[in-house]
Amino acid sequence: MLTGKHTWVFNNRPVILTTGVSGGPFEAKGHLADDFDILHDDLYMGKETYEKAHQFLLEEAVGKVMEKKQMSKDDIQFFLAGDLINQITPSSFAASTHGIPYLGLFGACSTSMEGLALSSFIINYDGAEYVITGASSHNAAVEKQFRYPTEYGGQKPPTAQWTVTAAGAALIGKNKEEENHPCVTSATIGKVIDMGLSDPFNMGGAMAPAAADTIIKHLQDLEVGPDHYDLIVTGDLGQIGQKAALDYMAKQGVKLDPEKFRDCGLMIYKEDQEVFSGASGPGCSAAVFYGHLLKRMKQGEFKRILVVATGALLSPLSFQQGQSIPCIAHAVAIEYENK
Amino acid sequence: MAKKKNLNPDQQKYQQLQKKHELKRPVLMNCIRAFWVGGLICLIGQAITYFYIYFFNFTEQTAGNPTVATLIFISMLLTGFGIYDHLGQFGGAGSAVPVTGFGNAVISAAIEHRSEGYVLGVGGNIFKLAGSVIVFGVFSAFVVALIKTLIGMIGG
Amino acid sequence: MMKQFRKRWFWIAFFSVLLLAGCSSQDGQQSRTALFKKVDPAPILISPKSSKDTGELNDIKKTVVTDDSTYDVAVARKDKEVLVSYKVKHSQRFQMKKIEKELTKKLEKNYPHYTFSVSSDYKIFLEIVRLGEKLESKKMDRKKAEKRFGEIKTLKDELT
Repeated sequence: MLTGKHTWVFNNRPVILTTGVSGGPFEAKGHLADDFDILHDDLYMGKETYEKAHQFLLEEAVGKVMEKKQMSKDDIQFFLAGDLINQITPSSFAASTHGIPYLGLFGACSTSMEGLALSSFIINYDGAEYVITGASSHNAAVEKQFRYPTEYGGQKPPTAQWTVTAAGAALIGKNKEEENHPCVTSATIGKVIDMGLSDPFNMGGAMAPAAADTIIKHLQDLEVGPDHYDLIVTGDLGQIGQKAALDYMAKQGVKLDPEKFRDCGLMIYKEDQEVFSGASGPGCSAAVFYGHLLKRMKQGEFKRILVVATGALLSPLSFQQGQSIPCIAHAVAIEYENK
Repeated sequence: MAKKKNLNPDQQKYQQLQKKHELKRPVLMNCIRAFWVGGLICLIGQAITYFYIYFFNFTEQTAGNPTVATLIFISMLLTGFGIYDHLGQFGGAGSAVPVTGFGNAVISAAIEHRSEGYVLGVGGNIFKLAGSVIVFGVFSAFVVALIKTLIGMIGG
Repeated sequence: MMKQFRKRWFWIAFFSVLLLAGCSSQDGQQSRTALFKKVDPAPILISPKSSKDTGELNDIKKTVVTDDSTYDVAVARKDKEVLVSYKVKHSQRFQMKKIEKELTKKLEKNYPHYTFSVSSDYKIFLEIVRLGEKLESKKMDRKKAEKRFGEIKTLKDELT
């Protein structure tokens, strides 16, 4: 049900039944290694190319989801996924492997929440019994497309971010009274915000206003304050983006408690891992939310959280032609009540 | 860096706000590191030159070619083993300016695009990064030579 | 971890190759250090065999050594040809071409009965020192030395 301007409130409260998260070697050394279902110790993951490894990550995550619920592909109606690679081929190939009717999404790093919002919408209005949504990224494949070859010795500035090698998938289903799962209560679709920043090595700074805008809109549409949520977590703003977003929201009169405003990109790696300003990539918010945050919710740490996945909608062509970076953010609210 | 011309007031205000939080490049530290890393690479180069002078029949004039070849070979190995990109992050210009940086640019592109086949992948992309070095190197050499010739003609 | 490990081994291998290569030469004391240190080699007279000419060679050496920009000089003579090689002080290395020209001029003026071949190349310097050592230790006879002299002289004109 549309509430306010751009927010859906899901009265039927679709639930996240289970999740599957896979990651690469660098993530295995990070903070959240225990929250991954599958970890690889090789970037190639036994495949010939990074792109195939990328596809394999998502395939595995989706496979894990089905395995956990002992479902086959015939039980699942739709598969919504996306990534950063040209024409989102890794997601499409993964969809071809699993043979589930598929909707390809592109929202850059905001894909994870875009997928979750749409899946919940479909479930809420009886469009399906079960939907799998996922997002993935692969460091080397993304670097190859957006920046320089992986082995090139170029110096990155401290504002740069590290694309994670991970995939996260979740199974969304209808809310059945007898089972207790985290449920999706509302979602806000953001608009593209372009503040004219054009440095592809500072995406956090460019994406911050999009995150801020979506958060403010979400709170306005639902007519609640920031205290409504135990945690507001952004996708991949990094250090710079997080501070800029807080500052920017404060200027607009929305004061957030810095303790309750976290960033997935700052949670996944340890301090001694050289990731500059933080992590990024569609796999970042997907892996951290589906793997780590949901677990903490189930442990009763948070009751309500708002996940705001941010995406920088640039292409290598657009920034080389000197265009600024258009950014977007989608917010999804999740609730879990320990019974 | 951003083009300031078409920004509306909101964008300008945000960019100022963002600037406050932006992490600055540690320029001085980078310079010092570049100095040491670059110097170290040149030291190794000098050692290799002496090696060729001492053990082979090369003079100071002619030892340059095998030295460059050896350095590029070493940088190729380092690139392939995944060490040179870490060196590059640490040393910045120090590892990019010597010939090893050029070698790294060529080889990393070749490794990266091997998956697209030898003709379209390796052949088509090997000079993806180094191509501009070659183009502008040749062009600036041409301009300098032109200026030198002209000055020579005028100066007699 | 793996990367760190490989890195260390690579460097160990790299430096041990350099070290081994450095130790296994059969050169004499002087030529082993000729590239790094001042060795001050004695002038070499290959032919003619009369010892009164060494005095003049010493003078030639002195002429070059006393120049402000040089610090180590090797001289060899075969008949009327004299090979002069010197090391240029580091601070003066930008003026190498000029120094070479001036020294040649000076030598040709002072000793008009010789033809000079002047070079600041380390390789030529090293080879003259080696030649001297081999002659001294009788590892090389006069005839071979003359041939070697000619070879060293042509090194100067090699460009590639």
